[in-house]
Amino acid sequence: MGKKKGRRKGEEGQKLKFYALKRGIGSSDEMIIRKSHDTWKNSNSTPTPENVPQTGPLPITSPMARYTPNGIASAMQSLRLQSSLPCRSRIPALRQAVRNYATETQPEQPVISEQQQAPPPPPQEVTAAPKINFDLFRLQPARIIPASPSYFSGNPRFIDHVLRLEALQLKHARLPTVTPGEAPRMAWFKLAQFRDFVGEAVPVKKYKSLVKILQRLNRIQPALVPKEVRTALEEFLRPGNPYALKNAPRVVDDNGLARAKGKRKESTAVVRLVEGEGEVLVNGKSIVEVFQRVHDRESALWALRCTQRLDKYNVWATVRGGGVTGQAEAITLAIGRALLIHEPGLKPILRKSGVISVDARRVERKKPGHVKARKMPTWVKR
Amino acid sequence: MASATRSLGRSSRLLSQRGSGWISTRQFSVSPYRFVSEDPVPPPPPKDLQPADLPPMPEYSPDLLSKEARSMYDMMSPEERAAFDAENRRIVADFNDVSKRTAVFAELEKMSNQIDREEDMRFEDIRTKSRGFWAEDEDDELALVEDGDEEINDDEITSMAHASMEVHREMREYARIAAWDMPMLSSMIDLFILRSCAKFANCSGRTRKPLHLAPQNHILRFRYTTYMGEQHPAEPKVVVELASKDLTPKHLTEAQRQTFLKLVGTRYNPQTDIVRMSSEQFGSRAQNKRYLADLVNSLIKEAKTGDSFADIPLDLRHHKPKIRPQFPDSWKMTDERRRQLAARREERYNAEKQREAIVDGNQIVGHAVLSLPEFNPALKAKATAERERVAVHVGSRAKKPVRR
Amino acid sequence: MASAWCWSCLSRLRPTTVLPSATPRITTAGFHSTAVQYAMPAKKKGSSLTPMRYRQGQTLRRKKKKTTERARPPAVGERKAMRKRIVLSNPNALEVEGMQDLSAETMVDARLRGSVIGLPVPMLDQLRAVEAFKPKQGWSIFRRPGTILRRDALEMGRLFEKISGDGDAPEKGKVVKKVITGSKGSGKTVHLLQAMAMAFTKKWVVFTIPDARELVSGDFAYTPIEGSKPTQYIQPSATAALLTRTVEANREVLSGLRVSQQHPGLKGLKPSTTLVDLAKMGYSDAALSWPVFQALWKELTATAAGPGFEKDFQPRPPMLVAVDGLAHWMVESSYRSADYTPVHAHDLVFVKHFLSLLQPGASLQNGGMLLYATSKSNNPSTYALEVALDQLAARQQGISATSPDYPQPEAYSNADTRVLDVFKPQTASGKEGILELQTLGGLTREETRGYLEYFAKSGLLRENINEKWVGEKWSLAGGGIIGELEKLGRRVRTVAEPVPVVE
Repeated sequence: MGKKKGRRKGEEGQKLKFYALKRGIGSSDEMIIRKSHDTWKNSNSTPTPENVPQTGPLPITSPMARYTPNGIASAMQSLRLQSSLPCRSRIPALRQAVRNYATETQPEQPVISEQQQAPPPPPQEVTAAPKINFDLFRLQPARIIPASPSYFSGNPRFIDHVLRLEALQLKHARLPTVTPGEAPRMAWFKLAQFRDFVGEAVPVKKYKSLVKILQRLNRIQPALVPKEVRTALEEFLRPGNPYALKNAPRVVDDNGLARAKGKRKESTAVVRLVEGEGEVLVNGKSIVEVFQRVHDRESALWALRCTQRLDKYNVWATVRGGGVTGQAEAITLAIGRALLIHEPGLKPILRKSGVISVDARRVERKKPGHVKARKMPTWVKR
Repeated sequence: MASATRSLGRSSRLLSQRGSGWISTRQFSVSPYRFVSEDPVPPPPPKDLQPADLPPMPEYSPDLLSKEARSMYDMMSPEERAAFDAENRRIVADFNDVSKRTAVFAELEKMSNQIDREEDMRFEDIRTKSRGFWAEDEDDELALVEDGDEEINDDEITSMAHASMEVHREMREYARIAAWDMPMLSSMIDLFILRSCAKFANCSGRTRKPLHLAPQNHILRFRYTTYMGEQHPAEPKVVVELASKDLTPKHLTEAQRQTFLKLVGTRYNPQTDIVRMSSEQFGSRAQNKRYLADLVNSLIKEAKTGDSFADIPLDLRHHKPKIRPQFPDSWKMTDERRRQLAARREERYNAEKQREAIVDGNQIVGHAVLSLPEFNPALKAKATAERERVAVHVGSRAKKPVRR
Repeated sequence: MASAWCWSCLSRLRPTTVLPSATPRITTAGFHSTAVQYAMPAKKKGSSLTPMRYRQGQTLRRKKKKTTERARPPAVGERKAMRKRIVLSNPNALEVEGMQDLSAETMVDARLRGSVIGLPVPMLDQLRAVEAFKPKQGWSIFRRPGTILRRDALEMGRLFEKISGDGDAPEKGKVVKKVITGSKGSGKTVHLLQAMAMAFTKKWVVFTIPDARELVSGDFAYTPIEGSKPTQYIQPSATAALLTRTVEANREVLSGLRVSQQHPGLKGLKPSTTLVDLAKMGYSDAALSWPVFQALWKELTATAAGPGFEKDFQPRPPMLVAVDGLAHWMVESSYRSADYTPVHAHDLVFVKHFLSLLQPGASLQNGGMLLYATSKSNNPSTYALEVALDQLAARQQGISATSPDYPQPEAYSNADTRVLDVFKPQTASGKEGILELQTLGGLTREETRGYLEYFAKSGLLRENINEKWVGEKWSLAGGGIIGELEKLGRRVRTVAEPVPVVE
């Protein structure tokens, strides 16, 4: 003890070992740790099983902080803050323990165990307190207990949702699922909407994990989805289901026409495709007049060519805007789509040949300070 | 009217302000007062005469009476005349007696003071908001200064409120149309499409009035514009449209219709056969509409009676026809067309099957390469050798005898 | 250290048997089957602007010009000669087996419809003389020139047969007048060529104006005719050229015909003078060419001999007049009058003569055919001609000139009345037919097939010419437009590779 005399208060904390008395009061799960000056032991005093019934590192609220030096420091801090009212230990030996300051001298006092306790004080006229009615506590707790166990976390409502969904997921983990492509499309809350919904600043990453759980639940086979899951999922849907609106399927009309549009660059083409013998009219004119180059003609009719349907259909195209290439490829896209209306089975071929893929490229705009979209003026020395 | 009185009141007030206190209110002047005005100082207002200072009235005699009074006087009976004369003489005598006159005036003064005291006859002093120095000589265009002539009685709402009410009424009008007329419009649509070729439906019917197609004699269609309560310079504009063919049997003959079209000039659209004219030269819608209707009438009259312009061709250079290519009807899929296509396809298929040989360019070239000597070096060499063998060597023969 | 090679990766490189996919093989090239060089429109040459180089010094570093040995530039006129050169044979092309020649039998044989008929070799000189071939027509890719016998050609062949007729056929000596129109590349000029070839086989006299533009573009000298009102102009050199063409082409026929009429303007004509000699007078002396042409025309249209010439008179053959590029004759020419106003094309007597043949009256007395073709590529825009041809088409459809549907020139459009008058409605009189409008369209599928097979047989097109492929090309060529088909046929796509031949 004498050796430690010159130590400063702060340094002391680092070296001290902490022991906590752990006592079961309520249920076995619940753990209440009494922290007091009494529990403080000098580093030199070796704890024995006799004087310390159960030892262990000081439990700190955050499990993460348990083993890190920072955690110890913060535990120290919390102890210092909370220990203004030292609780009485039932251990009389500890009751006497006084915090030893470096400037003070502490009387040597042998640590004695409970069994070797001094003779009890002389009996007085003390009436025992009535038995504590714990039911009353449960009905009317002594202090305000938060409704949610995650009350003290940063975003309790969010964590509640996560816990609930996780419980659901666990509960229904065995139900058969479908592949993600087959699952019904759901429009979950966007992040901003979800933040409004829970009223907390939920981080992006955490929301993503929540969505993952939602998607997993959504993958349960639609016929077997339990009602609770369904209702739980519906909570997280955006108002106004955007996937509910389905475009009316395009069909061949009474005159045998399939009508489709296509765009490329600045051009827009509308094509009416009808069964026929390979006649092509663009804006009411022969395709030869409109597209002088064979190249453009071929690209305009590529959808029919690559499916070998050129002699099976007649094409009536109206195309506006843009240049020759744009017009030709707008017609390509339109014919591809119109052909899909006639023969949906051709989709893989058309997709593979690239005639129903939209080319969304447009001319890049010119920027101020540039000569063109990206070109910079010539660098001039001086 | 109100503005006129307001402006009068304003000028009179300005005059009265400038009367005496004008110089003293000249605040921002840098010159001393003595330089201010060379105008003569206005004379002080005349003082009221005291009752004692009034001139005496002349002695009463019937001759002093005015003409009408004299005639009345002549018509009176002698007793009445005597009473009248006596009374008049007494009044004149009372007036001419200074003490009596002063007493009467004092009595009158006292009574007026009494009335003044009882009835609060003071007029409220309207405080004018000074518009400041820089706006002094400006006209008060925005009426910033209150005049005091806009008396507000609580029995009327303000003009702003009136305007707002007008907006409400307009909205209600359209709401009524939407609620009552439009559903019926949709039920009439088939009929409308059937018969709407040259005629226009009367769709601006009043509330609950059943919709009906315009009768044959309603050939004009007027178009008005509302800006939904907002003020707009184009609000009074009215446009009239009519199909010129509607005029033909009843109002004009075909030749007269041509004249009519020549008269309307560029307002005629030959593709739709519609003449469209507009007017916004008058301030109100009704005037413009009246004008247009009169114009159409006078055009018809002129087409009937005036010069026929038969020697001048109808000028349509103002109109550039829009040609929209139409989907060919022969391409439309009918059962017949389907059968026809199938038959042709079948025919072609059979012809293809019966064709004994299909020309393949690759094969032809392959054959040519193998068989034609000019493409095949081996054949070429062979042919050359053949030629060599068969060839008659002129030189060698000639040499033979030499060798011998 | 582990090797950078992974054997499993290498094993993947092994060629595996690829299943033939049901879908056609699609290469990465977008939407076309043509070579890359065709994808980019040809860049204009001679752009002097070199691309700016950035991040380089701006100091002037002038490279020394290397004096490259250049070949001598072609001599004067050689470039034009090259441009105008007409090559009718390509020895590299394969000879097509079983190709028939044009003859009196084949030109009416409907079984040959859709097959390519060769032009007889002796006739080529005649056709060259009348300038029937045009430089850009692609004769040079085949072994020998040939034309497809399409429906229009067969019909024309029948007409030739009827007009030539033997004995007292009812339609012998008929005059057929046609204006030929059609979209670009539809074979109007080749149709004229076929007509000439048929006329030569039938021993007709052929007059051609291969390019109507030459007569109005101010290339030839011109002189006004004294006392004509309005002033008319003759073009002596143009007339001489026409006489030369005609004599060269028709020497055989003309040398058998002798002068049969009085020609007061020409001296030294005897009854024994052949028409070849008569024409020679014209082109040897350009000043005489117009009177000689008139005399020649008079001789050829004569039905009977004049007094004193009966001895050697022979019946004149029918005539074919072929004009290409009619629209040029419907505008004001590039010639100027004395007061520097443009001369209307109809004031040139040469043009006027040939246009007057369209009018009813004594045009071709001995029968024959007038074929006046328009052009789509070299075409001045003439509103009046458009309206006139519309009217012609309407009349042909049976719309009378008085009906409201009959197309009329727009009011205030200033349509040229002289042009409209040329095509005004006429009535057929005697053997003279009325003016017709013939519009050439595309080939039918069968004809297309024959045409493309000809390419394949010539070794140009290395494709399997089956129904599907032909239909595809037919659509791509805008419904069998023959000029477009030729473009498709002559594009060599396949890389030459040895072809296994099944022996």
